Amino acid sequence: MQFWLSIARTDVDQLVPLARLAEELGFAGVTMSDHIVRPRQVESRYPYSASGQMATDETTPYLDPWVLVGALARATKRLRFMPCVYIPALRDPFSVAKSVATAAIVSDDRILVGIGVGWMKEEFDLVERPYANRGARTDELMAVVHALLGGGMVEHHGKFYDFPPVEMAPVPRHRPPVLVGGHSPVALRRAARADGWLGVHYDVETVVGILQRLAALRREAGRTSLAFDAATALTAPPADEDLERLEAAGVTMIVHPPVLRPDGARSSFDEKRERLGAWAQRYLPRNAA
Amino acid sequence: MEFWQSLALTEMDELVELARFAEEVGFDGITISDHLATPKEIRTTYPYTEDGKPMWAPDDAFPDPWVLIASMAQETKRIRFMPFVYVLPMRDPFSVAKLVSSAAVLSQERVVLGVGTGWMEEEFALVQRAFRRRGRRTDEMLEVIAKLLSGATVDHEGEFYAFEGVHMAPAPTRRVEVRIGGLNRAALIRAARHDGWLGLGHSPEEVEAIVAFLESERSRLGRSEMPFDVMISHHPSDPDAGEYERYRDAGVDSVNVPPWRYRGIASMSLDAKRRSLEEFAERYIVRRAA
Repeated sequence: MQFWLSIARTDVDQLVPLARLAEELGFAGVTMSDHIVRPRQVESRYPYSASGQMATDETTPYLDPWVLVGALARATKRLRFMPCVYIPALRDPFSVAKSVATAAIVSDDRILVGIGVGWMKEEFDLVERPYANRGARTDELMAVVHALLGGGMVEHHGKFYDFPPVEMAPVPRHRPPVLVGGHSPVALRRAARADGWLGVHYDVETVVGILQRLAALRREAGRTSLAFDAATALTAPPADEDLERLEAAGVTMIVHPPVLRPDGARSSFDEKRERLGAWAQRYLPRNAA
Repeated sequence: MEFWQSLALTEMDELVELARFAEEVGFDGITISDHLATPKEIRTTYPYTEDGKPMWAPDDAFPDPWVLIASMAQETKRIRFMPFVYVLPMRDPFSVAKLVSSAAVLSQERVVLGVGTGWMEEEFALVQRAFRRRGRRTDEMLEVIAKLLSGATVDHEGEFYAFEGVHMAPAPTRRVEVRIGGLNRAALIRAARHDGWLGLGHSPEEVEAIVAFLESERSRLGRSEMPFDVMISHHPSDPDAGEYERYRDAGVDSVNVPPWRYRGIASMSLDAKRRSLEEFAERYIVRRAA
């Protein structure tokens, strides 16, 4: 089992020190979130809270995940990085592939690509990308990204993207694994065809149920023999027997949620150090290499 | 004069070290080129070579400028960074503002947004953005980007973009400088409305004429008193001929030193590149400062 830390909802000046601290304490990696802009009025329902509202407000900093990786990779040696989640369908496949390739290279292949199809229609409207077909578009977009990241001349003739032979360079030595976020049936099917699944935060029972569905979907797709990661945060700190159940179910990464104050406000760096230090003592001796 | 080193067409694993070393020996900035992908067949004429063919191969590396800037900023303290040039109308203003603000806040705000309108129609087709009217769209994009980078909740009502109550965080604390590349009249007029012009290789006489035009435009806009930077790309063929002095007298403020590949050097070790930066600095930067 690997233990990761979410550095979402962190003040900008704490990001680099927090990544260093996470590495020192023994976390395997850090996750970050992705929003390009924030409309004042968000009518779309946030799918990951009971209220349908995002917990963050317009002062919450969201950096471009790959630009952030560019900085954090130089500040650390071993720590890995994964957006949780990046929304490719807000972009075009070339811009996505370019950012991912550069981040993979500057971090010596320490990235994983956590993606989602997105939920905030307002954000799609602003960047003039259709919201309605975002799922199908994400599938084709990621197929194009996969092809471009292999290097050499690539051409593609699909439903949403159609182009003659082009080459993108530089490309990394290895294509980074792609993990898919979300718990809807269609999200789980998409994850089962990818290199892993990304959860938001659930109780242990729910996670075990999702992993059973993923295992069935992967069997149907004939992908059981391929490596598969499953990452999630939990609604409560796991006990030893929880960890055993999660591991048996196929969870490979437990993500520590952002360190916040009880009222949800962003915390100081000292507060983070104290809380993460205690967590590290409790869990990180179990961190798998 | 300021001296910036271009790290276009330079080996990926040497970029951060070369930026660090360039700062150490006294350079003022680093420039990075931008291309998403290169088509096998390019029908558009490249405007900056005699034969109309680009001077790079499809497998030459063009890393993402903003990801790279964030990396280089970690290993440096003073030096500034600029894409030379970032092709704005291939993108949307929101994505660009997010990339620029991210790189700015991770670099103690040492970024300059170097902008071009692009020339390769095929590349626009790849990202499904219109090639036509890209100049006008660039102008409006720059307005939108400036609003978003202000950190305020902003509205916009324009020809290409319209929105209300949009907010971007984080935002840099200072305005990000915008400099415009391009040789035609439209590019020069656009540059006069911003913070600088980015030129390529020109004779001092050509520069004088361009600077005169830029100054008349800036005066017409009431911007004569505002800071403005004229940058050209040049590496002296004869170190003793005082070429940079002639450019300075013609109105050049900054020089972008072309990368080794553009100076006809096909390959060079990291050590040799470091020596080349050191010798350049010794000859043109340190002597000037002394």
